[in-house]
Amino acid sequence: MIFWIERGIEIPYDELLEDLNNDNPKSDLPGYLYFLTLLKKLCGGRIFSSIDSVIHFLIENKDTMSFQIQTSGTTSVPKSITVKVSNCIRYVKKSKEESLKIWGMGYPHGSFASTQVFFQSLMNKETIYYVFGIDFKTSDQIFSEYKITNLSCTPTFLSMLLINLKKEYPSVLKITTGGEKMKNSLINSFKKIFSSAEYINIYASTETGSLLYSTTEYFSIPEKYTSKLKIEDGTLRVHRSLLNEVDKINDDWYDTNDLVEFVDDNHFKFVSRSNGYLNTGGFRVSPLQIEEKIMEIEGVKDVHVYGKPNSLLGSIICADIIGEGVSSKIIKSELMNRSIEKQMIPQIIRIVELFEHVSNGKKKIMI
Amino acid sequence: MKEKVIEIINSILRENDLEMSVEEINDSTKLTDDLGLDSFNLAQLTVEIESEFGVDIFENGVISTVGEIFNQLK
Repeated sequence: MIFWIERGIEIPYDELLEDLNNDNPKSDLPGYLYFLTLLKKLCGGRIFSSIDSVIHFLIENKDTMSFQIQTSGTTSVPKSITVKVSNCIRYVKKSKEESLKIWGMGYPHGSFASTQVFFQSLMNKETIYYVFGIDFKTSDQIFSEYKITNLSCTPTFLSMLLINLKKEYPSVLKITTGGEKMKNSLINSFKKIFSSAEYINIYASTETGSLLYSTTEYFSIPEKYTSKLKIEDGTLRVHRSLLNEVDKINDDWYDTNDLVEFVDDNHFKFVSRSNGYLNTGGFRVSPLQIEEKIMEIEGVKDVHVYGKPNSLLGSIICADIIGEGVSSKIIKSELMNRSIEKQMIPQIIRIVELFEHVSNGKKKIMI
Repeated sequence: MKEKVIEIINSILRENDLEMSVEEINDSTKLTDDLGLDSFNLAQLTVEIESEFGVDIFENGVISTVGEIFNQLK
């Protein structure tokens, strides 16, 4: 039985068990190693006789076990968030029968969404194909050969797949997206290619875990959460009892800073995030962190990084730069040479003469 | 309009070191397979085209060829 597929390499459950019980795993696949390390930390060096005993251990101890997820902070320093295993597997469905599901994991390892896919698959001894980071030209071969049944990814990842997939893939029975706002037009677009697929749109965050589910871009607050979720001043607020790190919150209500817009009395859609992060293609990035990297480039005197709404990525990263002897191409090349992650490289770069500083402390551009 | 779209595509290819200049472009030229654009490059393309023509080419669904961009701008 296969546990993990990455770059076409298959890791069986037997190998996972062997790697859990021993040091020096045979594989050096980054996605696999991330989840192996996570599992080893949770298991605390115990030796297991079977994968079933690992699953049993996780279920028995889910309320007391937690792990850390790194997320880019609102300052330039990335922060670490503690996630309880119980919160991560809140909605994991445990199947009594042997499952033949093959998950397409279209989230980067280390993200909260990827850990949810990981636990859902592991609990039922299913298979994950780590499709995040694939060359999209190979997507037809992957979907045809491996018959992925459950695709879980960001809307951007789904868009990129749809650009590259040309025929129907009836093996895909369920598509789940999250991490960015979804558009109904994209939902309609994939129905031709994934004609058998049921669709679920999930609203989740690292701080709260999964909270809301929908089959369109519109959400409503479910009855069980009427006392735990509310919309105030246009943003979604979550009661402290639903948070991963309840100890760090002084107020009863946590402001997600996710802006919503009502479409009727009961339904709303997410408009944007206003919490200092930019969400680009499902990646959460800090403008301040990007500004810091750009300021290191010779010739740059000042920089303002901001997001613009974009129908493909959610937000596109833009940078206005004051400097001498710099150009858009030079800035991009310098950032690429410094191994800055692709999502942190501004796509729209303008070289300007000065900024106007406005009362809220933000920089306003003067061309 | 077509010439301007091609100019925008070529500038994105150059700026992102994709080292591929499109002389003969036709409606069936694929944005990812033929031109090598990734999701970030495509997002840049949408912004540049919207800034020039006032149309968000991905607003109504997925675009995969240059011809589909032309159709959105008609």
